[in-house]
Amino acid sequence: MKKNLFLIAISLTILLILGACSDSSSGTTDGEWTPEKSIEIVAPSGAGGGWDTTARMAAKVFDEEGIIDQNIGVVNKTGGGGAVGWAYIANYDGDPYHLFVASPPIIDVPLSGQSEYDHTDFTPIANIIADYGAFVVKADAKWDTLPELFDDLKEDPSSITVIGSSSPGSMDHLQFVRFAKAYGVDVKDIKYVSEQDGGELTALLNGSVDVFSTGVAETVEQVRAGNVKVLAVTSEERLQGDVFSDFPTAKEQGIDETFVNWRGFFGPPNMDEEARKYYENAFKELSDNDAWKEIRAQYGWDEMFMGSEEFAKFLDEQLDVTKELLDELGLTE
Amino acid sequence: MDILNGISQGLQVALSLEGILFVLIGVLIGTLIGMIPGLGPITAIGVMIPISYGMDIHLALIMMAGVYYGAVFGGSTSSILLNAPGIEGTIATSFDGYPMAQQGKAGKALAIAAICSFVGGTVGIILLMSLAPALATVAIAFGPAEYFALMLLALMAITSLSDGSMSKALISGVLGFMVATVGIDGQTGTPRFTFGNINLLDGIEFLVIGLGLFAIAEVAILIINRNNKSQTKLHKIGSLRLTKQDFKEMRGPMSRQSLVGFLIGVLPGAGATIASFIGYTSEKKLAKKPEEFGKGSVAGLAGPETANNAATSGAFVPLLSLGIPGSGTTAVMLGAFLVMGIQPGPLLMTEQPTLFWAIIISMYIGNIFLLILNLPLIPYISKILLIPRPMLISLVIFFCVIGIYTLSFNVFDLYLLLFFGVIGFLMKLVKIPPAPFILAFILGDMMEQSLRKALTISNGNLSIFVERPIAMSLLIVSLLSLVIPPLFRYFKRKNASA
Amino acid sequence: MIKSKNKLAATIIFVISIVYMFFAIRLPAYDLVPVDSDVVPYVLGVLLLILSIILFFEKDPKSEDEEGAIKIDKSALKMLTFIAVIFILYAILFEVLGFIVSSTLFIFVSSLALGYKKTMVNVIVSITTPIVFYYIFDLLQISLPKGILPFL
Repeated sequence: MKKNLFLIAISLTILLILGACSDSSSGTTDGEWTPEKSIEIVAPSGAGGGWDTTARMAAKVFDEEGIIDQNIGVVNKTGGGGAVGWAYIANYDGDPYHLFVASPPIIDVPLSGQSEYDHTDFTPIANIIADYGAFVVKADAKWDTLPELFDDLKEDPSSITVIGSSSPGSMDHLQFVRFAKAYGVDVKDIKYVSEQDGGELTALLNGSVDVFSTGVAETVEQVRAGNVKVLAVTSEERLQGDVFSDFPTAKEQGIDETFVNWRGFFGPPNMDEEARKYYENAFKELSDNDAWKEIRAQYGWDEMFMGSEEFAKFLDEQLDVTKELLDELGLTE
Repeated sequence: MDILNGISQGLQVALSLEGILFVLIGVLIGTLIGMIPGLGPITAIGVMIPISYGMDIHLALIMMAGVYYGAVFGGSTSSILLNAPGIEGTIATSFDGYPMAQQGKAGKALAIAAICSFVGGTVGIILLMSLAPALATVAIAFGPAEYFALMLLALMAITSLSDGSMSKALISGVLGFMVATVGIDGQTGTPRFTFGNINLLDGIEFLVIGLGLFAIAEVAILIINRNNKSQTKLHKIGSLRLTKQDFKEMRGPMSRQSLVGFLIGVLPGAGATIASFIGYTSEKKLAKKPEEFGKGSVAGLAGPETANNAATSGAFVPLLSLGIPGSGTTAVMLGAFLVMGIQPGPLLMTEQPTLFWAIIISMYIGNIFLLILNLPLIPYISKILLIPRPMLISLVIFFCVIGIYTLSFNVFDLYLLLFFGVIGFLMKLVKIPPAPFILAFILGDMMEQSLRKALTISNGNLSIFVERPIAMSLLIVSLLSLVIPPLFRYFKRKNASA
Repeated sequence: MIKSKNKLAATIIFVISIVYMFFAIRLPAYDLVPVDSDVVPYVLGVLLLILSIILFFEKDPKSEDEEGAIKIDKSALKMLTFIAVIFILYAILFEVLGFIVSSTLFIFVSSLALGYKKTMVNVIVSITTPIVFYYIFDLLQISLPKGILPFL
């Protein structure tokens, strides 16, 4: 028995040494940086969600189209609306082999005090896609435009309930509040309920609630069936595509506000400049790739490429707008 | 005419060589991941979406559906053999399935589970096929007020999950409800009872509690008794053969629960877990010998096993006829549809009749496959009980660790698993039953959130529960379910003494 | 001894309800909803408090307690603690050493400690099982921690 334990101890030591050796490689000596071992992309959510799908699809195209030669694995780190994944990545200070995918929650979750890391702690690499939000009401509702709804909201706020999937202070809630505020509605008057078990559409269809604040893609089929109508989408211009192009923007209804559900990639804190450039170029190539374009169309994602610098600036702007809204709602720490 | 056309085209797809092959692959993967505690259909389908990108849509969706109901089918195995629920929906299966296996009747328990799963699943599909359009309206009739009333009704089941002390059952329930309040509150965004720990913000995963309270606590008992010679029965699997008496005892639960389970499955958000609990408690209330429940009762195993599989078929009603996901798994399936360029929704049946019928027909085939895959496997799978105790204990812990880690990929959840294992063990020591805990944990969050959503909508006015007929009648039924059984018992005793 | 078991449990549960309500009081207020996040916790806390008092004064059904009681002797307690400790070590080393190495060590040590005598079989099982599972998950595109093994 003792002999066996001894054997295991020896083999473990050998493994440890081997492990230590393989870690010591680095490719930053000459200007051009290229990855020399497998890369990990973290999706701070479970399999099947928006972050996870974006990461897995990007990894797939990187690999199949030969944009990045190294093996890319997607790792899920679920918890805290992203906070667990961000804390995990923050451990890899300067490590160019760990990336993660992010979207607006990396702005609003830290603002409400639920993550000690925010976007400024990480290295923005590139944004690649965008989704837009929509405000949906039942087909037989009395409102046909967003201003009509907002006027009623001003008059009798207690008569209108808005529903969304996220909790107050995050995406679905904020996008609605953002537009209502732009129209002059007191944001404290908005009745918002959050539905996290998948019953949002049900509640809208059976008349329990009046407005559903959500993503555009989720609504299309119900619109086609004549069950609901879209009062406005949050994009700058009308969207492309069959049913999509029928949806009016808030802008054309005189409300000068937009909301983008952007999705981009970040590296760990203090990522090497050369490595950052390498990935920025790789994502640019991905964004222009035909296979990726096809995937984008399939999922109804819009193209929205921003390089590192532009992305960082965009994020800072988003932070300011979001902070102002959350302050007004009394939701910041 | 269109429907007949759709059915015949659906048949062609489902009965083609590839169709059958992909049903087989789907149910095989499903059964396997169902058997491993923790790894559930959500993760499996989630990771399959990118893999199946570019595949024929019919085949891909047939396969994913197979993974889903296959997992519910296979999930009972580890519940019965190891007291470790393979997936959420099979926790009630262990209440009588595990005791039965402990009595040296593992083979029989697994056979009953397989047959009941098959019957529940198949009846569910028949109902799905014939009632989907009609039931679609029922599925959307439920708003927050109705859900609150439904959850309250389901929570009443706690009173029948006690063995002996009612106050202990209620304590267990309240503790479970308290654990459900951990995490970010949905209606206000306030983190509750997280103690500044980001790992607790999303609340605690169901399976951490399920495996901790049941599997790990049981492991502790096994460790204590590991040298106990009187427990050698465990090393017997027993015959698969069911007697006429067994079938007689199964008949009632199977016919009732396939219907009830299906209807609960139709409601978005309710699903297999709640169906199986209601299946268990309602059979206990109806049973001639309720005292046998929890000690290896045939009806106590047949009830939840039929109900959870029927509910799985039911969950396809809102998905296929309305495009509304009724559970976490169907939400991921909805994602899969979208990737394939198909929007499931009210128009699916008319615009994509082939797909609609191909999925339904493939579910029949899948259930038959599951039965003929599972029955012959029983003697082999139950050999797991022949593994010497020390090794078996280590492996059970290992399985639980895999299952929990792959939920969130967060080591913190492993500590939580141990924590709830210790809690479960302490509860065993003082004889506080774990079943009310887990039931209240499942229902608690949804019940609280529905209540508060309803009150936000009504501006704090309680009349919302009285004005809506469905909510009102559910509330009355839950009140009756609390009052009638004691009255009934009282009169029975009076009659007996007279 | 048996009689005091329920009373002990009741006392602990009483304390839990107090602690729970203490944290419920400290929840920040949010004005935009009619029922705030602390209401249901108060109800639960009070319920548990009442139930713990009921349990404290409840009579123990003696006969039943005797038959089903779990007896823990010193050696069993020692073993439980030992397994709990190696479980914690397993969790700590899970991502450091990686899934395969940490699982192998855990299965081997735990089986050995629990009295599994066939060391050769133990070595084979504890090495092959994690490897098989690693590759099954790999096939499903789920990556488990690689850790120190360089060839994965």
